[in-house]
Amino acid sequence: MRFWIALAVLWGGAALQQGASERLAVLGCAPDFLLAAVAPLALSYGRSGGAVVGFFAGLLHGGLAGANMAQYSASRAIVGFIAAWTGSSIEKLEPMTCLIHVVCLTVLGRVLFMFMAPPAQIGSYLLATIGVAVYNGVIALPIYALLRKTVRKDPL
Amino acid sequence: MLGRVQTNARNAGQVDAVTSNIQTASDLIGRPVGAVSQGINDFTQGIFRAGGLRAENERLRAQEQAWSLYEARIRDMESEIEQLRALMGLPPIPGREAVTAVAIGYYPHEHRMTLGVGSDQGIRPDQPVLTAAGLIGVVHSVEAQRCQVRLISSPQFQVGAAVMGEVPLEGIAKGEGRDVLILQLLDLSQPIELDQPVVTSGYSERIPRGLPIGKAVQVEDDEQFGIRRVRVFPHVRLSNVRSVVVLK
Repeated sequence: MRFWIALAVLWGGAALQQGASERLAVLGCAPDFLLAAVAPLALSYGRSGGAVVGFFAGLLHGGLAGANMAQYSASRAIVGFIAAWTGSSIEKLEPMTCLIHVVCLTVLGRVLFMFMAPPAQIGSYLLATIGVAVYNGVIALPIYALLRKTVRKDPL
Repeated sequence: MLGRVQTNARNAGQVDAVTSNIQTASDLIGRPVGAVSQGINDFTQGIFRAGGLRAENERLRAQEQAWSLYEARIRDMESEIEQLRALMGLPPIPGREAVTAVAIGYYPHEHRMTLGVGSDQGIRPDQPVLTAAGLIGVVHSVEAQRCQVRLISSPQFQVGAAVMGEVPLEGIAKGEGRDVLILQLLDLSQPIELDQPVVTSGYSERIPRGLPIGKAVQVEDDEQFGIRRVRVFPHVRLSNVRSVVVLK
């Protein structure tokens, strides 16, 4: 069950990333659906599970973009691991806590990616990171709600 | 290892198996999702920009009528040029045939766009991709039903380009991030005015001469090294691109 939910969320995230992300851009900031999915999934799957989820989210993102997957996979795997690590101290998934969690992890993921694959214009990339992080925080809330009602009820 | 597989495939103008499978799996729902989100986007834009869209529609109809007057004549002249080139033993000019395509993915950080046409439609690496406003990039890697476009914003993008003044000044234009290209020229003697158009120079097997790229917005002369750098603002806003044409 947990595996299928993770697969469905990542697949849905990949489809949204391909089909809808740039069309939903606000002030040049488009949501990163796959990165937004990693944080809530990692909360429910533990540290190693979070790293694995992150790795595959990175693989999907790199594959969709036709880019080198190594940087995406590595940065997302680290984010998944840290998401699970920091999330283990969250006892109750309150909306504001979840939002801040995803915002911080999105910033971390994009900054890690920036060091692994430096963009042409670092300033504008960092500015866009703030917008993407806020956007991700908002779109991750339904995923948290879904996982709270499904996966986190399952015994490990 | 994955990186090596990707690099080898890309150097051959192809897409590696992992990337191809990911894109195929994502396409199953990614394309319908894209169509729905585009529909919602069009609907909301239609509400807020109805007046502007109607005026734009009228203008485009007028342009289409004007174009239809010249189309037959241009075709005759192109045919005559091809015949003369053939008589002189010169190769045909590239970019005669156009394939329309829809952008099914846009990745600004990677400076890439995915199009829904591929080798089955005759698409090959290095073919130019453009909109009505101008060049947006060149085909980088090709699958049967998809291709990846390297956009003009990419730092790896290079194309022969010319500033079209009284005397065309030719050089190499390179991508430099999202909003600008740098055109390097070796001729410092000719003046360049701002807003002069920049087009492809045609020194390529696949990219014909005269495709609009953008306009010159800044000129810097480095007399010590004898180089002139022209900042070129592209005509096309890449984030707004939906339909394109690939020239074969």
